[in-house]
Amino acid sequence: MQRLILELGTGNDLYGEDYTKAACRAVQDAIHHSSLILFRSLEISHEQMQVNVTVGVQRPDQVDREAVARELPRGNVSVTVTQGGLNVVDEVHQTTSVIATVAIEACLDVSEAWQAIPR
Amino acid sequence: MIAPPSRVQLRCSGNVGHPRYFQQEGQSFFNLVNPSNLMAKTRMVMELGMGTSLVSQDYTKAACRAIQDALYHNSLHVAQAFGASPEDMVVELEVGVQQPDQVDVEQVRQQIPYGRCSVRVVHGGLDIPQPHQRGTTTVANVAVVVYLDLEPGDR
Repeated sequence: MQRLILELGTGNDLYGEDYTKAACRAVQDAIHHSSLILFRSLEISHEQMQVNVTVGVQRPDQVDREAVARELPRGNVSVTVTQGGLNVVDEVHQTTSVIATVAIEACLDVSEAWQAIPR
Repeated sequence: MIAPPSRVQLRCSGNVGHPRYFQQEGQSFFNLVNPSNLMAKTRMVMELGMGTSLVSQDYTKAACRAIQDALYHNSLHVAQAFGASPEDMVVELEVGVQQPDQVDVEQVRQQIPYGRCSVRVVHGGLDIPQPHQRGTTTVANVAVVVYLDLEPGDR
């Protein structure tokens, strides 16, 4: 399987300390900065696409991986959560803002069905 | 059955993103019976971005920032995946700003690190006046469309 694209995004939950919400927003940010038109152009089914999601937050145990996976509209999705992201603490107002960062890898077995025309 | 034209004769025009449409040396469009028989300039990926010039109303700066936003949210591997190099990519830049004639197209083009790049600037984006007539905040929208020349492999 070849990687077609790595999509990057960040999301936050400013006041709710909801790590899943921040992660889901990061996924939306990541996937909506690009479009893999080649599936249409080459008439390839999205079911052949493997989607690997890596989420970085300060409290990985607080992320609902299934909820994050549901944010991805296509492909076979796997979600990994690691220690990362950023928490911004406002000690005066006793609030923590949660920032999640996400990397989404889209992979496809191109299997020599198509090749670039040599220039 | 239409015999596929040789590779050198093949030239895309019009709706180049669609596999069924090709143009042969000066002739009209023809519809290939099976799109997978033959293909050339193929739409692979689109990247989207937004950029601003908050106080200086610099449309070129806003456009350049929009391109950076589009490009650096993604890492593209499509060229390598299909056995091509990044230099083989054909890149079409579409920029939307409120004053298209104010955009330095050459400077915008230089934001693209690889491939053969063309730029189109249209009326779009957004201008928002600042309070107390202190100028204008300008927003540029950008779409970066990446094409590759593809043909069926030896499967």
